[in-house]
Amino acid sequence: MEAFRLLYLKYYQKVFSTCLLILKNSALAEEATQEAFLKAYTNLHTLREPEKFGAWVAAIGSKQAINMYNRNKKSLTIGEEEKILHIKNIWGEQWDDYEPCQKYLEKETNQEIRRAIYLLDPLLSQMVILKYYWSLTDQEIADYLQVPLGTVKSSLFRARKTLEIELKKIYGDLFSCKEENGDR
Amino acid sequence: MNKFDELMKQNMQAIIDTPTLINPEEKWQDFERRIAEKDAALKKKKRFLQRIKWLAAAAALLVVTTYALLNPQVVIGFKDELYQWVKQTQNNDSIFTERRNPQYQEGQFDDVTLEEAKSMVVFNLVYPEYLPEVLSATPPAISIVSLEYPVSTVTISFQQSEEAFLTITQRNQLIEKNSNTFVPENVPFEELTLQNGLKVILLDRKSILEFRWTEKNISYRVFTANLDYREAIKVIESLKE
Repeated sequence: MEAFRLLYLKYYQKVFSTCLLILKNSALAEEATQEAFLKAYTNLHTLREPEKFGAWVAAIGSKQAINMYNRNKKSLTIGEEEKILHIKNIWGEQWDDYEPCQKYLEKETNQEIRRAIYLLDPLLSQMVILKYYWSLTDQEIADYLQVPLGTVKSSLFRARKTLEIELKKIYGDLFSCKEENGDR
Repeated sequence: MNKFDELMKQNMQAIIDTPTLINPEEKWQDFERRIAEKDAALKKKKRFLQRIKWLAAAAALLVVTTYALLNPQVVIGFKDELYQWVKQTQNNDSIFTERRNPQYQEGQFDDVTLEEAKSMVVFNLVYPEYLPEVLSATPPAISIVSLEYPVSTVTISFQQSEEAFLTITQRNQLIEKNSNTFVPENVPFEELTLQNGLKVILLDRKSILEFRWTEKNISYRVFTANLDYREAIKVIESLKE
């Protein structure tokens, strides 16, 4: 139990953040996280690669979060700005200091990317987190979530397309700013 | 790694690794409580499943037992049904009588012969050697009621005219049964000891006399109507197997 406690304390925040990014609701995210650790505790013997404990619990948590989202869809319908505000309230604001233009532009870029990630559909958000944060391969995501590999690939493709559209807009703004810098 | 993947990775790390306002230590206490609740529920479920197992076993046993009880011929294949009686001859010799695996049918059977009646019950029937003239002209009507095998009630009725009749009822008492006979207030009764030593109870219902006694676990009742009291006693004294 003590060994599991250490794992719990190490990964709780990350699993919670994973669930929060999918659900955009801290109370439900907490519930999904606790349920994920409970399932992990019960099924610990089925984990083949112990070094991937964190990713495994996060996958369980994300699945739990998707289920909760589907159950609470109607009550979770909130506006885009409200979602971002809610997320910021939990994670706190960053980059408040004065930065030169390049730094400012990077900050603006990252903020736009995160904004695009926040606003992703929960199912796409789940795939993106497991791939880019938890570094799972498409096959591992399919195995952990017990979904066909094709579903994982198509979801990631759609997520990429959605995010690329947002990034193209940002890169355009970024280049125009760089040209202004060069003129000076 | 292309630019897109690199940007995604960086921003994902920034989002997920940013500390939240939640304290994991506090959450661990809630988690321990949930584990305890789950363990308790699991134990309860195990106990429930164990109980279901026992109930299923008991139900299976009940089904097998019921089937066996409803199909007694299966049991007879393994064990003989044996009925024995001891009776005395006129010379006071003892005779052992046995009846093994009698064929029987449950139900009510009317107008059977004496021989048929003897073969349908598991005890020896008695029949009067003496009958008054008024009743001896026609053969008796014999009926058997056997609703709780092997208990049977045999009724032998002698009736010559509409007025006079004599009925002998014999019933074996192989199963435990308690009964009470209520005697109406205006019906006098007395215990008689006959010449052959048999003790009988007589209920005097004016035109109808009722005699009742029990011998070797067989209960007997004799009803007479418009028949002389002494004639009725003679008939009872002449009953022989």
